[in-house]
Amino acid sequence: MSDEWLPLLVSLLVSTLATLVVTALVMKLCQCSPATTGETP
Amino acid sequence: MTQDITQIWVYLSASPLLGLTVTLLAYQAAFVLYRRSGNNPLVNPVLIAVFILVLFLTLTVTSYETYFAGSLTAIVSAVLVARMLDASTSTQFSLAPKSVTTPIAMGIAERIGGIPSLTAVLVIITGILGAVGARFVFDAMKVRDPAIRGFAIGIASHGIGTARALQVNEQSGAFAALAMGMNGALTALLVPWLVAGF
Repeated sequence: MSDEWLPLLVSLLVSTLATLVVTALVMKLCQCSPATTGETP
Repeated sequence: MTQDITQIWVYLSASPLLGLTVTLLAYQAAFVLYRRSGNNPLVNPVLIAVFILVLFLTLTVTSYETYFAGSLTAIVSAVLVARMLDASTSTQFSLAPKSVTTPIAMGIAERIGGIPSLTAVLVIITGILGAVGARFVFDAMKVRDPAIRGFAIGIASHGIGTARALQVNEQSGAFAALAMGMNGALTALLVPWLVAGF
């Protein structure tokens, strides 16, 4: 596992970031209604 | 008085109640910090609780099995297990279901030849990463819609992200919960199918 900590860490970071970005982008592109405002996470 | 405390400690340390008690106290302390910070995502209560628990386990030399029997210890204990593992293919399989909630992810990992305990750790880390970092990612992308933010965080970081979304915005929380559920079901169907062709 000591040999694999870097791949694990990088894959987690990249994958989480990519999931957030791709999901948000796809939903943004598909969305027709105007965005609402307010405090968001 | 000192003897009473000693007796309580002896009793707790010999039972799973210790893990449960420490977990609840750690999370409560972390949650108080989170509230006092103005719900700052960098002070994520799960992240802080993990640090507290790791510190506690290190200082008390509490065994993996004891804590696991108690409660949420899959987080810390699985990290300890993961450090001792060295299986490349298994690691990949363990990573596959990392974005769904822990029980589902562990079940999937077990079915596909992954390491459920490693998966549990990866799931938690993923959740924390998403809960802590999502706000900055969305702000950088200029994504303001709570529905989009909630849905994305629910898919990327399951229950931990959903909890974060619910604390901040009800609409985001609702979409995060929806996304988390859908992603769990979809991942349970897709991952074994994809691995079969691997």
